[in-house]
Amino acid sequence: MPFSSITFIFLFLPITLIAFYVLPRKGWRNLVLVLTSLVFFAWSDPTHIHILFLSIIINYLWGCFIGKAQAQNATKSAKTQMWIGILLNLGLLGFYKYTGFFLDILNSVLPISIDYAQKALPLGISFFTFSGISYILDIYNEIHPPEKNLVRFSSYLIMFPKLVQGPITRFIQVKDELLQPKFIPLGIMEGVRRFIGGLAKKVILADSLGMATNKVFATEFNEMGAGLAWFGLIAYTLQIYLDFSGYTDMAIGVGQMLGFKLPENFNFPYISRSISDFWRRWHITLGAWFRTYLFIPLEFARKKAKNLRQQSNLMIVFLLTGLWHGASWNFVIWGAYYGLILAIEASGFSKMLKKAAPFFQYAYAIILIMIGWIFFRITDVSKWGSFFSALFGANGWTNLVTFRSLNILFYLPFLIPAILLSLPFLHQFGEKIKAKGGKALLVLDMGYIALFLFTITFILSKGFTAFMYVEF
Amino acid sequence: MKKFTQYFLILFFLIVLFVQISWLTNLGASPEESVVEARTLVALEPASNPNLGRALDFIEQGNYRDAAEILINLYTSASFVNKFERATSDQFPFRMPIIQFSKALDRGIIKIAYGLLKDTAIPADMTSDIYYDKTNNQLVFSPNLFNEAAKEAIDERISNYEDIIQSHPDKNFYLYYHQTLENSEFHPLSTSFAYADRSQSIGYFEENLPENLVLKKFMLEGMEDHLENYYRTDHHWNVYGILKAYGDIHDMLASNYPGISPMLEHKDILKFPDIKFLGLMARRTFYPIKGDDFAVEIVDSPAYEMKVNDQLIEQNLRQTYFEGNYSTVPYTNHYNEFYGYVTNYTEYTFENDSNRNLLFIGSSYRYALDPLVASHYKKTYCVDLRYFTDFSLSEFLAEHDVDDILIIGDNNVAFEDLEYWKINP
Repeated sequence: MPFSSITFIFLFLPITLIAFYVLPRKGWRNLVLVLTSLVFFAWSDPTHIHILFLSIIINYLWGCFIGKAQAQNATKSAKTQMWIGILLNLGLLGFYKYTGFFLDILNSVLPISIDYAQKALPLGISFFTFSGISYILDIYNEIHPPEKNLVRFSSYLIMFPKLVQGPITRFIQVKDELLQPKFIPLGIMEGVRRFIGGLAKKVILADSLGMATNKVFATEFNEMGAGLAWFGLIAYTLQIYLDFSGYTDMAIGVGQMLGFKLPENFNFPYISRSISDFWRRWHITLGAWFRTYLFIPLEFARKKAKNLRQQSNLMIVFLLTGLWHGASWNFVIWGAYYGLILAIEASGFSKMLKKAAPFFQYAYAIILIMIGWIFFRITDVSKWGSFFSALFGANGWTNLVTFRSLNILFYLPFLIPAILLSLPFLHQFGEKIKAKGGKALLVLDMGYIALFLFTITFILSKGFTAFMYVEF
Repeated sequence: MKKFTQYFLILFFLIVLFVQISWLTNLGASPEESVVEARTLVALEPASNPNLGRALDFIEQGNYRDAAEILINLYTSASFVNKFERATSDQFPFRMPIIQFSKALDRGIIKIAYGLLKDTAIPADMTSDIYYDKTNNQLVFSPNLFNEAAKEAIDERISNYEDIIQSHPDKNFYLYYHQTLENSEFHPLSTSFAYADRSQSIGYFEENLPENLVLKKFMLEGMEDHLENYYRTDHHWNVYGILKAYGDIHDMLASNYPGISPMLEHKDILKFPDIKFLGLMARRTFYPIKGDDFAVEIVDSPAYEMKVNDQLIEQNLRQTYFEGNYSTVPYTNHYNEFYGYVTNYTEYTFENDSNRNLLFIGSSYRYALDPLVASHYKKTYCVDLRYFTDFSLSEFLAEHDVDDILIIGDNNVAFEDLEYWKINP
């Protein structure tokens, strides 16, 4: 059930909040969360509900197995159970997401022909699987003990605000709220603000820019001039940020309404001064996951390797980051592209960059990020060349396909608020007002209500489109 | 004061509550018709769902297992979710004013975007690919494209014509093509679209015209010609276009039908004074444009019998209008209400001396011509292939005595569309 649907906003969310808070015993709140999360999931993807149950059972049981082994000081057994738990999670993800991709590779490399009908991807599988793995590893690393209460554990793993698109949350980050759910009225108000802001980002800006980019990227690139190609790329750069960060804002907002503090996922990534800075600001929870559970262990495991250890580890991590986004070559190359840049930065380029003028640092980062989005957006690798040609003027400034012929000229004004929202100024201004309170806050909140009503007019008149990161 | 300012956003929940109350008060109400969208709005009527009703019966009987099975099947079926989503949107309070407001905002943004440009035709909204032509105060669709895909489609249709003509050499095949603005060189945006048709598609079709297909064209000679023969807010032709087409078709049929009766003379053109017709393009965009006059021809026609899907029609739609029984609700689709029975199959039997029968194939443009053309035949079988999806020409001709086969339409119907208008031999 998309957050931006009428059903979610006007029915599911209020019913959930009422059910969550009116129950006399706080322990029941987790049960409400589990049940509503199942409804939330099944509304969009009823045929895969069993996968959700399977993931709960696997992670709950293996969490207990590891805990039991640790309690008995059976280190080796704990390690074995940890690996089984991880492999079961990865098996689930791999079966649904990567079987077709790897069979295609095998078919093309070996003289065999294995037919395979690609299965539909269960909603949010990449996200809840990674949450499950983090839970298993955190128990193994004795960050926290296994959760014995199945309902409480289930509400962590499948909590609907973060279920389908993250933020990828570690158990430790929400453990206290799960144990002692609290009713925090001001938290609810802040949650509403965050939710409305995210909804508007998604519906008004991301969806509108998405209409434009869909038309641009569906065009024959050799009939496109540089003006249109740059517009398409800039619009997509803004769209993907506003779509995903809009979702995250809504997820965090709903979480706040339910008394949870979900981790932040974005910190204005387009003001990054380097690519390593970008990956600290973009999809923060995924970056943190890979850093905690893959990069740091790799650094330890290969500490004896003297040459290019960090660089090769970065390459491994980012190849897998690319693969996490999708089972296709464009995502693998997109990951490799970032791995390579980060390896170069780690080899001393970062230090050089820091000495350069800030403008150069910003320009360096944003241009590389935008080039990265080309690999991400255009899934057909053979078309990259013609898009780059269009981008760098091989077809002239304008060509056969134009803003007018695509009927997207009126999306140009959307770039202004989209750019403003990608910069921190408006956010900082809002934070100042919230800190100040009083009449200024009242005016701000009136603005939020107007924005909410305005967004609803967009939803009713134009419908809504699925969130982009749902596909991953 | 401080507390009030901190909790102002309770208003968010009050708005949510208001919407829910509105839904509850509408629960169980009979479904409303939306004139603008020409559809019945989806109602929030859970009790009317037969499966839900069965599940509730099972619960009352204490048969929880079967009730649960029905409820799970109901919930996990996409149709239920889709219908429910549609219902929450359709039953949203003040939905139409909200959509109209949103369309007004669209126009504001479009004006900003086009503010410094000199375009004479600008998008009428953000979703429809319909434009407002300022010079002629009309709404127009974007130009149709003539590209490789269009050529391939035309080639396939030409081959289809050749097949059906060869399969039925004893029949006369006629095609009446009428050009619409989207395919002409007079479209205000034809220069902005590199692949705009600009009459190329009909030219290509004519160059490769199938043998034994008699073609007559109604080509636009200029914007004035379009404004005279078509509505400004609808894609259909108006009474003048209809009468011109009737004259052309009569001439065309006469080439192989020497004894054809003279054309019906139109006695008058009647304008309905209380109708301002806002057509499809106005309905889709809510563009604030004055409606067209709705005028129709009055002809002396021989008596005839009309059957729609084998049901005898006692009083046809046109008579209802002449008696003054028509809607004056804005956005009513008067073209369809007056001319059309939007259906797969209509049969006319005229009381005349003709001994010939006609198979008449076409879309809504055809509806306006049905009784006029049919008056020259004993029996006329009218087919709309968008709805008659299992139509087979051989089977039809085996069951019906037909002398002439007439296809009329724009680019789509005549030679471009492959989804509906390719005729199954």
